[in-house]
Amino acid sequence: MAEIPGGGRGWRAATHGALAAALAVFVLLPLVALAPYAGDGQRALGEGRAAVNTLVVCGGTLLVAAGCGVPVGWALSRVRLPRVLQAACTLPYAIPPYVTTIAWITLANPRNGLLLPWLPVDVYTRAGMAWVLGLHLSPFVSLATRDALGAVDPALEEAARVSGAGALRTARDVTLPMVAPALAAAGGFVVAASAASFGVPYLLGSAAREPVPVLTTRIAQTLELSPVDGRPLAVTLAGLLLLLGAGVPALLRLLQRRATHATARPARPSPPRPMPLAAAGVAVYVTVAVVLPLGTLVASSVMDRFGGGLAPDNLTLRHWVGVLGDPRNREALGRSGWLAAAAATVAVGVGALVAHGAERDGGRAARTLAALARVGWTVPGTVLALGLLLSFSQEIRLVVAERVTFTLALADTVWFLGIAYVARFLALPVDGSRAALRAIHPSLEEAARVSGAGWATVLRDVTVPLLAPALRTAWFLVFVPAFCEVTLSVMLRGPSTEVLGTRLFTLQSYADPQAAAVLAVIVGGLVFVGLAVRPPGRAVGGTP
Amino acid sequence: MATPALLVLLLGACRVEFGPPTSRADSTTHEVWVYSSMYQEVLDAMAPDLAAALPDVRVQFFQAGSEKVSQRWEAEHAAGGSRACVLATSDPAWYEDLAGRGLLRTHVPGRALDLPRAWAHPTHAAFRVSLMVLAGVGDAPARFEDLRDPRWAGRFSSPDPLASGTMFTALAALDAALGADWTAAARANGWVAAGGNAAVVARMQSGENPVGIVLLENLLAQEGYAAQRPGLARPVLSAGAIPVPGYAAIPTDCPNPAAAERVMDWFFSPTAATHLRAGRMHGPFAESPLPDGAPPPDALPWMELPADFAARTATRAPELRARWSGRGG
Repeated sequence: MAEIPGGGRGWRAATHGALAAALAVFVLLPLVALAPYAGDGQRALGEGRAAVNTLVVCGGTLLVAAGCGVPVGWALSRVRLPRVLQAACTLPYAIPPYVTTIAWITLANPRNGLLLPWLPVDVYTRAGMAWVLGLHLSPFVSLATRDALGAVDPALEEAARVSGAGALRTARDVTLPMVAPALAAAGGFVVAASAASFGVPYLLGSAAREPVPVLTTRIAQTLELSPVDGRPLAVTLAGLLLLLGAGVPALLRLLQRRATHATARPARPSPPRPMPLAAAGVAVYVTVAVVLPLGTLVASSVMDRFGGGLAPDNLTLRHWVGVLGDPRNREALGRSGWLAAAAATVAVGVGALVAHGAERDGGRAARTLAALARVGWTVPGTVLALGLLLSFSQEIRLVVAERVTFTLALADTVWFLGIAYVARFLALPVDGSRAALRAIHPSLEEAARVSGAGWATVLRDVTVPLLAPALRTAWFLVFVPAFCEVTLSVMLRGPSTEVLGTRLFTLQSYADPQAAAVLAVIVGGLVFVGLAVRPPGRAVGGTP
Repeated sequence: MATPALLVLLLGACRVEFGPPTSRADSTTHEVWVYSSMYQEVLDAMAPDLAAALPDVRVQFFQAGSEKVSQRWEAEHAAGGSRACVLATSDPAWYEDLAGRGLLRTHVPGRALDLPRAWAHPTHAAFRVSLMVLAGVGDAPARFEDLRDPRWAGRFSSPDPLASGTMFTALAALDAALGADWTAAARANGWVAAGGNAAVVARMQSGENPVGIVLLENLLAQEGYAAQRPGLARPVLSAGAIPVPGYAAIPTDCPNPAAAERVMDWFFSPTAATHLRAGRMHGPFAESPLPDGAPPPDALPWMELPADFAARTATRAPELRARWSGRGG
């Protein structure tokens, strides 16, 4: 890109330097620490079945997520829906997937699943994994679709209609090319997230009569019982996931390279219209993706014992009283709340800057930085935690003149968790912002620079307001998984940094699954209230 | 620009000390980190008594499942040394492995001299015992052997032995006692191995898998267990129990070994035994009090394991894991 007049080059260089430094330390260094362990290619070749299962589950997840997410996203953008229904559409993402999985096991296990009288289903299959993961990740696609459609100037579609194009042709030739970047980004995320997911394939794949291994479950198994000898195989398999997580989004980007910019000016979204049939479709989606699993969790949480059903003598509030009365749960909720909010805010800030550099500067360094930001999302949490422990479990000291000691002591601190969350979820705001930036023509920023505005001013006054809906969506997408994060937290937490995810995991696996159901319902309720008050990415205030 | 930015970023995140630099041990002389798989509730209950017994030692706990503890410790060790001074988990083979690699200090608490020979080693000793039992809601097989009977096909589950040190030890004991053929036949008979012990109990209660191999302490924790409430999972007494020792040990890279020895000794004290009992765990001594509701050893006999069982398990672990996961052996 030609240099445009305007100040701020120093600020830009300093900001990008700091970003590069932070990513080098907290993302690249853990990878480098793991690199010496890679190389058990011989045993990795024996994991072909797990690799095939991973690909099948990823493909199925993408199908379910896109099949649900695109129409729901379209409805969120174009159909007048009750606010409660709008908020509920993002709830599948808000409930921790390993808890939702327990609900789906209750509903669809092949032995005594509640749905069996009506549907001959078996959730302990690759299709079951794809179903649960696809529903969980469908809000990725629906939010991306909604935001992308919101940025489409309705005049373009109207022009096509006036010129004689039907609804389908308008959608294919006008709307789809303009929302393609966002859909491709969301699709890439869904694939990467399902490839790196552990809880759902573990719970469903290992409980099958014929176990269904995927790469993440093999990595976890390898590390858990052979923490030393298993490391080479685990790191090698994580490398495969890294390739998958980086390769699929790149492929999707390639496929939609010719997509046009959606707008050269802030779009004025077309007002939603009442469409009862579409609204009913959304209600069905919410029923299947939210009401069924959440209702099962609520029912579990008030049963005295599993298997006793909802008979009056088996109803109790003791799990609720126990969870609410335990100060550790309240502390974990509070700590996870602010930690996730802080991680989401930092990730969105850093992610937007990285994305801006990659899309607008376009240099190799900027693109490398954006690629580096994706790494945390594409490797399993266990492997990332291992890399972080190898890099930062020791105090790092710098002694100056034998009198002053600077000590970086991250282990067991809440900061360590925060840094790990940002490293893990940074890809979400980076790719979300990149997709949004691709849909905004650079001429707006160029015009501001020609008018004398510096780099920071252009960012603040032009770019960020245009990106605001995508950034709010990205904040939500980071906040929710960070709020309930388990795999990193179990390994990295200290004695006074227990978080919600580790409480849920402990209760679910070792202590009291019904208490875990209570916590999951509380989490779902809190997120639902938050969504109802302030839906993610909705144009508010300054958003044009 | 990246180098100065990196320096500013890192220095800004640092703790700053003025004066001559202190060593790692100097700065933590009175601190002992215990990495344990005991439930957080048990550790929380122990903490005040530990503080009262050792007022000059500040004990910090890292709590996670045995497998997570070993992963974290091994990563820290590979990075230059772990701060853990006492390891107290439930994966006997790991301790054999650590001892074989020379990574455990020699220390035998006085009380450990009363332990059965298999549970007391120069570098690690058992201060608690977890019992894996066969259990069921209603009808259940009388013996572990019966799990290969088609009658129980697809009806029983256990924690995942590839993800749980306790379950792996139980599997190793069953495989050694009943033979590899039994393991293969039971596996082929629809053995569901997933999740933790709480998940197994939930599957039994819900009827999805009404029979299970599970920790006795999770059965005792069921609400109404002592009152004989119907619909709860109960141990099959005739099948006996597989005792899995929970060892304590001091790693060689512990920065404060003297304090660590006192903490490890405390775990063998009567006070600790009280907390273990409250946490529904068994003690390793003949006179250890039983948890409330636990069947006495004459009603639920403990499987006799050879003295070198843990060492042999550590040796044959790769083969057994490969066989279990269908990858050879």
